[in-house]
Amino acid sequence: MSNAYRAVQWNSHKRGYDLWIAAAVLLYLAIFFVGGKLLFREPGGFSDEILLIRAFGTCAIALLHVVLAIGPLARLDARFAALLYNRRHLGVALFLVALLHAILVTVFYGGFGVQAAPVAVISGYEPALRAGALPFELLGFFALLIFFLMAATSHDFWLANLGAGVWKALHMLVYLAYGLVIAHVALGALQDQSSPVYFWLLLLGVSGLTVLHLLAARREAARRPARAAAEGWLDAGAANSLADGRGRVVVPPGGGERIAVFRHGEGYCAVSNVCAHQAGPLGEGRIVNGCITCPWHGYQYRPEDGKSPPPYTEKIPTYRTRVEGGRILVNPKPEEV
Amino acid sequence: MTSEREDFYVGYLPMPPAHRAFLRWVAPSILWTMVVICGITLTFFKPAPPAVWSTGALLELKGMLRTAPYPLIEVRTEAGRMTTVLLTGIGKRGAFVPEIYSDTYCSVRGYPLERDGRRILELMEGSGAITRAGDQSAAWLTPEPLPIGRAEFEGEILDSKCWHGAMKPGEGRAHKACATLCVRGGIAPALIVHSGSRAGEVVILVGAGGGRAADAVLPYLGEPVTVRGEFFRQAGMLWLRLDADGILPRGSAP
Ligand code: FES
Repeated sequence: MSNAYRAVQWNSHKRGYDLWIAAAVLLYLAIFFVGGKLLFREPGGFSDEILLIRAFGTCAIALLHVVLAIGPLARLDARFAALLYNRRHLGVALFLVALLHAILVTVFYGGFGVQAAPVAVISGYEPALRAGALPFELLGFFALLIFFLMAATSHDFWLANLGAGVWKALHMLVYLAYGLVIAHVALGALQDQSSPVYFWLLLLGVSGLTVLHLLAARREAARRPARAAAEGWLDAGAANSLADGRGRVVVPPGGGERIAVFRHGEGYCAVSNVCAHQAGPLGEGRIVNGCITCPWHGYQYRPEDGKSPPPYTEKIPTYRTRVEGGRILVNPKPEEV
Repeated sequence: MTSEREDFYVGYLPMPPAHRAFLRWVAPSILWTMVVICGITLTFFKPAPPAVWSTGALLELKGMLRTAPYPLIEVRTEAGRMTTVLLTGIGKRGAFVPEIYSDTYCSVRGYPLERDGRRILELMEGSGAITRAGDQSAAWLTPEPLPIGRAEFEGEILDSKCWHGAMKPGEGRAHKACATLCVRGGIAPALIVHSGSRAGEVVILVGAGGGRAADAVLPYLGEPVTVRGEFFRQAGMLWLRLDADGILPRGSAP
């Protein structure tokens, strides 16, 4: 068994990160609740429980936007890497806040009646469904289910046991969850408000995330395929323009796995661009302490054989390189183990 | 060898100064953005209704107790005007009024919920909630229903208890599941009229046969609807006897 879950070991960055998350969530909830009490006084005040339901609900939406923005931001500016490194903690926080929203809704709207609260909430849809109304609560419930699956499988134990493909697919469901949340709000809470501000806020969130993802995608698409050199090798660019310890992403012209070419001292080496952890772009990483280091969570691979240094057991494909006429050439056929 | 990674972040190594400086303003910026969003969200809320639920102030009312179509008490005010006060149970339940008290002069005790000068009463728990108050039943003039005519209203149907302040707000889409539970529990459904000359009125709904309207209204609670039926006033309260299929959903919110 490999020691493949090391990326979730604790360190001071993670503790600092979690403190920030906790502080942000608590500050938000406190301001919302106290502000709501001060702004809307009796007899025109809100029920405490409803104020809390709204506080947790809106906080979850804000966190969801932050979670979804970090990915493209880190592609656009490497300095966001520190936020990406612990994004899973933010995801777990998001799930907990959304869960509390759902629990409050179930207890308050579904409780105190002739049926058990969860039964009341679920069977409450039935008459409305008959009349053709879309139960917006169900949309929120499905989104919560996805957040739960993601939070529950966020540990690298699951990544190792589900396999990277399944795990990645599971975590791409966050975009479905996002759509469900937006529909949940648009068909639910938004219908009860008379100010257009909420519509505009939601639109701002959706369009902001869309723009960030498009910008990140455009940047990715801008990488040109490498030129072919003699004997099926690929031209990986000028040798002297690659600084020591730095990498470069090489896109094979006919498709196929991208290759990360690194300069290591006076030599050059090439490995797969796809990190064995969560498919981070190794070519955007560095050589740190003699190992190719992933920019996302810091997994390391030896340049010479693509193996993680002991006790770790990951291994990524390596490629042959040579320098000819000042150009780095790389053979797109992975080396035999 | 720190020089090779001075601008490269690895979570388990000390943070490069450039990243640290960047985070110093990014993290607070995210925090402040959240605070601003929180402020905007709060500021533009539709205010909660000016309703008051006096959970600590026991109120006693004397009058003629009825159990059909919903538990209620007819009360004569000091000015001699007749008013009707709907009764509910604790939580999302209709009031439990034993049949022996039906159409008798009684005293009821409970906690009032009031909004816009209208009042309903949540009966207290225990045996003291309803007591006979002497036999004035024979002398009580039962007010006849006063027909107003056929009517069609636009509005929202919900349970009368939440509208009167049990939930704030106790109306709208978000409140739908709660209204469903209340009406299933036996609380009288009310139509809140949204437009026309009767806008703002609270109209208690009864079924086509004059009985409870729960089954007819359940699919439409919390939604904008058009409602048709026979409109009448009785003992100071507005009622609508629903036509069969007298409730139609409307496309969008008012
Ligand atoms: S270390 Fe996580 S993707 Fe590379």
